[in-house]
Parts: sequence; structure tokens; C-alpha cells
Amino acid sequence: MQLYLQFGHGMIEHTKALLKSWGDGGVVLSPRDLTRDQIVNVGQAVTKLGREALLDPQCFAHDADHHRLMTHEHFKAFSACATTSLFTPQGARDVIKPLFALGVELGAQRHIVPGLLARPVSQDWVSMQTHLIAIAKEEAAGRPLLATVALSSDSVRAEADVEAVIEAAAKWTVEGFYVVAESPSVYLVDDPVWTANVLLLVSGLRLHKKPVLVGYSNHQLLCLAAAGADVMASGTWLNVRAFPIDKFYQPAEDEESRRTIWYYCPQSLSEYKLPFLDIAKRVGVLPLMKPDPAFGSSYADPLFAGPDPSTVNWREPEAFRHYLTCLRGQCSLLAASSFDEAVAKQKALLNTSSQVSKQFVSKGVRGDYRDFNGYFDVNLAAIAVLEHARGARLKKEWP
Amino acid sequence: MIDLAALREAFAELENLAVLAESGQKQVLRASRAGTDVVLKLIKPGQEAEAVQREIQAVANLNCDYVPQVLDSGKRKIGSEERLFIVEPYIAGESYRQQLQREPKPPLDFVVRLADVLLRACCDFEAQGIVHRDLKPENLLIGVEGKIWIIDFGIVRVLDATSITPTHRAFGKFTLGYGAPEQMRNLKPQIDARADLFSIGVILYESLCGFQPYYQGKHDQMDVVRHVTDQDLTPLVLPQAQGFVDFVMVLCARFASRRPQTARQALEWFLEATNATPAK
Repeated sequence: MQLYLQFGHGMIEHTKALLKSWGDGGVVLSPRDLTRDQIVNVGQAVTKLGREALLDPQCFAHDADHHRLMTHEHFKAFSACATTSLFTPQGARDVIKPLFALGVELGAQRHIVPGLLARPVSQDWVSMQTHLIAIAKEEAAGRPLLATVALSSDSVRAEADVEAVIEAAAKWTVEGFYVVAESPSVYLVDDPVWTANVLLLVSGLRLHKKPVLVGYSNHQLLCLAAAGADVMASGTWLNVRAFPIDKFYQPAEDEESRRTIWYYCPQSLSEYKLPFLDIAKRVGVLPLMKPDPAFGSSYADPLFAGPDPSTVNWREPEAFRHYLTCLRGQCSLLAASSFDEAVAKQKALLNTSSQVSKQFVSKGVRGDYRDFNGYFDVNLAAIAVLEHARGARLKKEWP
Repeated sequence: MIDLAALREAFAELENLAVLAESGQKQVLRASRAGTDVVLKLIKPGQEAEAVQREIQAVANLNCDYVPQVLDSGKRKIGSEERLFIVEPYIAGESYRQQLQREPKPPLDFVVRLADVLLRACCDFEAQGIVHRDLKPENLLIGVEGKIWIIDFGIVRVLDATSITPTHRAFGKFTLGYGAPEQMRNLKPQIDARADLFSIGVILYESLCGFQPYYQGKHDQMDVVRHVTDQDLTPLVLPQAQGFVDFVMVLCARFASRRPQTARQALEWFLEATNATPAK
């Protein structure tokens, strides 16, 4: 599974630096966070590096009114037309034409087809998807298409909704899927049903033998590797690590107002405020929190160089790049040639990380709401559900 | 009441006509034709003629070792009424339901053979573009020589043809406890070979555990509906044949996307799970 960068506020320089150093990956560009010129410039810079740039239409909600979204031609057309007009060929074309034109200009090799957030998955929603895909096919000039599959958190929790999407998607004339699952929480999810159903959705779509990209992800969704996901996309701020529909409305804060710096420890799947690394140093576990070289990040080296971590000049750029580089390393390490191997790796990751995390907690080193201690069981349950529901097919049809 | 005299006149080529059974849909008689035992099925007036024609055509076109071939079919005037009819070979034996009533848990090797037959038949249905939609023990005949036959294509679905059941109906045509959830809910785009695979799974599950799993402990039909649509069956454990049992559980998956996607794929999985030799 590859890691792509989910574009959010302030990511232009991160994108350029990370994609250059990684040698792989791609980016999902966000009209909500970029002007048209920025989209073109960043897209062209990324494709010049030989990486993929995709454009997320972000047509999730018809009444979304974020000021920057509204500056984009395709979104203006989307916003201006009645939902019923979108059902007409011209209504759909008014949105898709400028969207794809921008995609071509930025250098996108694949187009993401707009898709409304399903709340719930109804026959009307399915009909809209089918219609948008048909018009997109006409306008794509042969470029491959990815269907947006955006589900509200209630729809994700509804097993029947998820299966209805999988059945409908079998007939969509696209070359892949871009999955956006509304999160029931701000960041990590303590609902095993939601997490399990995301795995069922992704695996079900993947079994249509087309690539699946999952947007707005974080390290909790490393389990997507067991569902056969090809790409997970993540970013810097929390609003690109979990999908909140609110961020497409005004007023919405563009980024976190609190400037807390979080250190991601891949061994424990948890993030810690820097003072807790000071505690870790005091109680003797700080060396255990240093990332293994296998994860490929040297961004956090200054935190382990001797001085108290909270006194080191380690800021958001380093923290973000460290998080994303470790996440990329973890994605890579979870690659598997069979479903059984993929599941074994997930369980090993969760069990090992759980032990490490508990050891830190026993020494007073805690990650507050980003401590993964409350979430290991969630992911293990989700994996168990995946094995039960899809194991038979995934064992025989592993992508 | 059947007017046997009128019947004999209408079917002069048949001898020794005797009533075998009667259902809401049809009357079934045994007879002989040129020295061969046959079954005459008379469709009752008022039945959906189009559905019957579809049944007749589906079976007539089918090339399947496990389905009695259609010897004759059409319309004949019996007395003052024109009636649709089908003539098939008579199969001496009993229904699988009758066998299960006597022996609720048949030997494992019989169940594996049954699975082989049903899956191969399902492949033949799939090749012909039809879905039986009513596979259940009542519609399986065990001949006196042990051969397994599949009968009654009364609610067959021809995949390329326009559906007879109105789309707006909340429920489609099915037998409760054997019909797949998507068939029960009349989700037509999803009804294909996978629906028959579900029914096969239930028949095999019932054969392995000795009872119909969806009826057990239920108070009414809606309880059964809820179980079929909302809950997977309890996993079976049979160490001497766990691979086969796991395969049966996959057939019984509530959602079609979790079962083998075609009858051909199901047969491949079955053969892999059991190293079964081809059924005779």
C-alpha cells in the first residue's frame, strides 16, 4: 500500500520536500485549500517529479459554502445548480467539464469523478453516481476515472449501505475508486463497527479488481493494507487525517488554533506532546521511542540527541514530515503477498504496539487523546470482522 | 377436481393416468407413454401464463444431467378449458425432504455428493442464463438408484428477460428460509447465480446440523425474515471436514458480495476444499 499526501492548509512545501525525498507517492489536491493557480503549480511540480497528482472535486455537499471552494469554476457550477439539475446531462457537464479541464492543466493522469456524500445510500444516490460517471466518461477523453465513494459516518456504520455500494459499484464504468468515509470523531475512532465497515467497503470494492484509494486517513487506517487498499492518503492537520464534512462549510477554522506539537511514535502507534518525551527521558524509556530506521524518518533525530525534547527547536514542519514519513514506512512494511500474510502483519503490529504503548503508560508516558491504547481492540475487532466476512474471497482473490 | 375422462381424451398418447399430487399452482399426474413412465404437469387456470412459459422454455433449453428433460409441452383443450402442460420423465424415488424427515443428518459423504451435484447443476443454470430461485429439499428428488434430480423451475428467473415480478414489490418470490436475502427483498439487479448458491448453502447446512437453521426457535415468519437478513448462521465445526464446512458457511453469507461470485467459482472452491471426485 502506498501513501499519498492529502492536501490541506499549508502543505505546498511539505509536498515538494517529501515527494522528492521519498521517490514515490503522490498527492490529492484540495480546491478547499488551494487557489486555481496553486493547484496548477503544485500539480505540475508533482508530476515533474514523476509522482501522481489527483484533483479531489470535493462535491460532497451541495450546500457547502467554504469561501475558497466557491472560487473554483466547477464548484460554482455545482453550488449554483439544483440537485435535480445535476441529474441532467447538461447540469453534470457544467460541473465536470471545468473540473477535468483543471485536471488536465495540472497534469493529472486520472480524473476523480465528483460524488455526493451518501446520507444514506439510497437508490437516488446510486442513480446520481451512475449518471455522473456516465457524463464523466464522455468528458474524460480516454483518461481513466476514479469514482468518488463518499459515505456519511451513519452510512459507513450501516452494513447494508456498505454492501449496497459494493453491489452498485460492480456496474460502474470506472477504472478505480476514491473512498471518503466520514469519521464519527475528530481523529481516532473508538467505534469498531465503523472501522470494520470501512475495511468491508474497501475490500469489497477492491474485489472488483480495480484500484482503491482511501482519502483522509491516519495511522489507525493502516489496517486498510489487509483490505487490499492500493493507496491511503494522509496529511498534516487533523482535518485531512479524518474526514469532517464541516470543513467544507463557513465558518470553519482552516487549521488548529492550538499550536501543540505532537511527536508520532510508530512503535506505539501513538502521538505525544513534547513534555511527555521529557518524562520519557526521566524514566528511561526515551530511547525506546526513537523511530526505527526502517521507517525512514530522520526528522525526529534532534529529539533524541541529548537535551530535553521540549527544549529542542522542533516545530510543526518537522513533526508533520516525521509523521508522514513514518506512515509511509509503515505502509510499505505492511505490504503482503497474501491475505493471510496481511492479517498476520496487522495483528503483529497491533499486538507489538500495544505492548510498547502499555510499557510507556506504566512509566507515565501518555499520549492524551492521541494515545492508541483505547484503539488497539477496535482495530483487532475490525480485522476479525474482515476475516469473517471477506476472508474466503480475499484468500483466493488477493490483489 | 380433475376430469380424468376429459384428460384421457386430450392426451390420447398417455395411458394409465393417475393423480400424484396437487399444489396451488398445478396438478401432477403419473402416466405411461409408449411404455415409458412419465409425469404430466397441468398448470391450473389463472396462473401467470408468462411465468409458466418461461419455466418451460428454461428447462427445455437446459442441458443438465440433473434436471429431467421436457418431453413435451404446450397448450391443450381439456373439456372446455385450454390448459398449459409439461410432460417429463417419471422419477421413482422420494424427495430429499422425505429423506431428511427419516434421517435428519445424512452421512457426510452423501452431503458432499449432494453439494457436488447442486453446484454442477448451478453451473449449467448459469451457462444458460437462468437462476432457479427455489432450491430446497422439497425440490430435490433422490431416485431409487440414488441419483439426485432438481425439479420445479416454477419461479425461475431468466436473466436477460424482463422481470415478471413488479419492481415496486417489497418482497420477491422465494421460499422462506431458503431464499437469499436479496431475492426476498426483490433486489433484482443483485439476483443471479449467487442467490442459488445461498439456497444450496442452506440445504447443506441443514444436512450437516440436522435442522433448518432459520426456522429453529422462531415464533413467526417475520422472525425468520429477520434472521435471514440480519444475522449470519452460527459457524459449524466439523474437524474431519472443516474445509468443506467453511465452504458451506461462505455460501450462506448474507450478502451476495461475500459468496463466490459465480457458480463456476463456487464449484472450483468446493473442489479445492474437498478434493471431491466428480459426481456420477
